[in-house]
Amino acid sequence: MRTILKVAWRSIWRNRRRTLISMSAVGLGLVLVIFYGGLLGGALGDAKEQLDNVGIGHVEITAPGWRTHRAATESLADPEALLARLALPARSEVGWRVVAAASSRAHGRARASSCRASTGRGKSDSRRTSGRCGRPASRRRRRSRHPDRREARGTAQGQAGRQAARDGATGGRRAWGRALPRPRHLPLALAGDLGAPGPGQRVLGAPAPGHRRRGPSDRDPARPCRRGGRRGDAAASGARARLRRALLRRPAAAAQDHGAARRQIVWMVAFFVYGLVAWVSSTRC
Amino acid sequence: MSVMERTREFGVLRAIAPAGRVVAQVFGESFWIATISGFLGLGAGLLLTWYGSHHALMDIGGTNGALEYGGTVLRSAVKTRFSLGTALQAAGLVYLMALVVALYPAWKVARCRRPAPCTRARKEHTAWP
Repeated sequence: MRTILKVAWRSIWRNRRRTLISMSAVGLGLVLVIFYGGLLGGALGDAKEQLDNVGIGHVEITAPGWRTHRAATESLADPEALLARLALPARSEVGWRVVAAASSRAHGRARASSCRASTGRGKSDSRRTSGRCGRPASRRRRRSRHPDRREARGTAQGQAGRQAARDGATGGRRAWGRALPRPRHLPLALAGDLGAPGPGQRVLGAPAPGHRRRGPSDRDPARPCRRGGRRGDAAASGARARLRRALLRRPAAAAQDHGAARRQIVWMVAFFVYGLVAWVSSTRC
Repeated sequence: MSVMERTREFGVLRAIAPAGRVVAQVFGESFWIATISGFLGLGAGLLLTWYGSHHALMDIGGTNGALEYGGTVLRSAVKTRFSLGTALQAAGLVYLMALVVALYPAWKVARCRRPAPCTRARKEHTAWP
């Protein structure tokens, strides 16, 4: 075996150029496999990390029957005591998930109440459908005359949603379109009891400080809103200013993209030249 | 490539040595090529992946490598993940493949029962017989 390997070693270096071409083909293929594996792993790791940070979290603790029934009334009895028993590390972040929309009927009411806030009033646009809800405004108004739904729409729903958003829980986002006949019976009180996060803590899924999340819970039911968003509001003007700034930054990003495309073209040309040289060399050996 | 162009050489070898000896030499050559290029490729790939895990290879347009969407800060810089296990796995696969693809030229050499057809000079100067 040793002699065979020795002869083989001497044999491959009898034609050095052919051996180098063969070795570079294998080596370059291996480099590309490793590099693209790392690139794919980095992209997937980023996506997973961002999903965890946005609101899913690494660990989810629920009430015992929550996964089976999915009922909004099944909430943790004493989450603070549970967290104290877990003794999480100092840098861990905890977010409370407030669940709303317990039934399809409540969801229908939620649609009715939220659409009323997002569509303009008046007879001229009674048949106009909102892009968000897709139902005529007259029908929405007729459905919302029921006593329960009248209670659900407007201030009760808006205040509950805004309260959840102020508490910084993900329920602030989820509770916006929900009819709340009796808000005190829902687990929204959970977020209220826990209070605001301490200094240096951040609640998962909560909007950044100073950020105002747009949604029907932010809308004032008494204020008629036009199609295409509100006008004249401070939050909306802030969003428009951010959008304008982002658009002004676009040329720099476009130039960066051109640079990346140019690099890719250079790499493709280099690979093509390499293949051509390898092919010509192999035919003339 | 390293076998098809050397029909005369392998024909002479088959005339003076048993088929197993010639096949072993073909496998030995593939072993050396796969080993050297595998180590070089593994080193270069690890180096490139390590560099990509510390420096942003591409930025999809955010400011300072961050992109804010819906109140959430996302990372806009594309980086690689340095993983020795994944790299070793890829190197092992490529090494195995480099040895497996040596089966065909070895089979071509071994099936040459008489040295005369292999020593024809007609196919000496062509890339593929």
